[in-house]
Amino acid sequence: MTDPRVPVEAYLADLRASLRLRGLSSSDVSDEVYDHFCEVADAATRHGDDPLDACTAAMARLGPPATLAARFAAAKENPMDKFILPIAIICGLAIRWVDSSPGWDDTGVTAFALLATAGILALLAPRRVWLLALGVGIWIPLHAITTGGDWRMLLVLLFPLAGAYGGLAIRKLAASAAKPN
Amino acid sequence: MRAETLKGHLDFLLLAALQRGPSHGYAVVETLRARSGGSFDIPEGTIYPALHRLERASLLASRWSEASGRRRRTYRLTARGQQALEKNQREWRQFRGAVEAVAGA
Repeated sequence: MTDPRVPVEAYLADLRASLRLRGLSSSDVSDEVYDHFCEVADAATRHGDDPLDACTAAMARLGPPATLAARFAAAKENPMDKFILPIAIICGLAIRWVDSSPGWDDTGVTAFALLATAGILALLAPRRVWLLALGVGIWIPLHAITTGGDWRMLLVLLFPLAGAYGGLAIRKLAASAAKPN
Repeated sequence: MRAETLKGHLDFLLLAALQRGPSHGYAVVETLRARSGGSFDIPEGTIYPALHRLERASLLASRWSEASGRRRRTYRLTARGQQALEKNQREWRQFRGAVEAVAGA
């Protein structure tokens, strides 16, 4: 009998990395798959089989970690996912355009627009919200850096980041409240 | 039985496997295998994502618990899932009856 922990841990590490690349929370899926391997190993032990062989066969049936992560991503796919980043970029460019127009000096409204836009977009499509925040908020600091070398303007990104993670938190709260009985 | 033959029936089979009560993923796989006499040997790499998809569609709900010192996710049918299962079962009976009538089986 051989210990299957090393190959199982390696498989799970690859799976977690692949899930993170796809913007999916990795711990729940990884814990579920780990429980599966434990069940497979326990069943093999009960039947007098080698747990390592059983876990190796289970890995083959689960498929390569990257493929499995892609299947989980497809299972969780939101129809908005494909459109949300272009929408974020368009909104961000529009906010930058208004902010840079002559006579516009209402910084508070610009900050609120960045926060609210990122928040709404994260509510609609809660994956990789940091990327949404970047799509909305990068344009004002980018303009300030390229024209005046003002790197402090990167602090503007705090507004869309706060909005995006706020939207994500609201969505999670709403989802747990609406969970079917 | 080949995986292509089961294509389109997987959701129905998973809902049916959970009809008798909540189960975790491994038990669902074993239920499918045992109740089909070994004919439905669907790869787990297909089953787990499908369980997640059904949960996203609110046909299943899941909860986490502690079992043998590790976290375990258990799935159960929701009211909506139960309705979907009953609808599938009615349609399947009709389909089977029609095939048998035509094929004379």
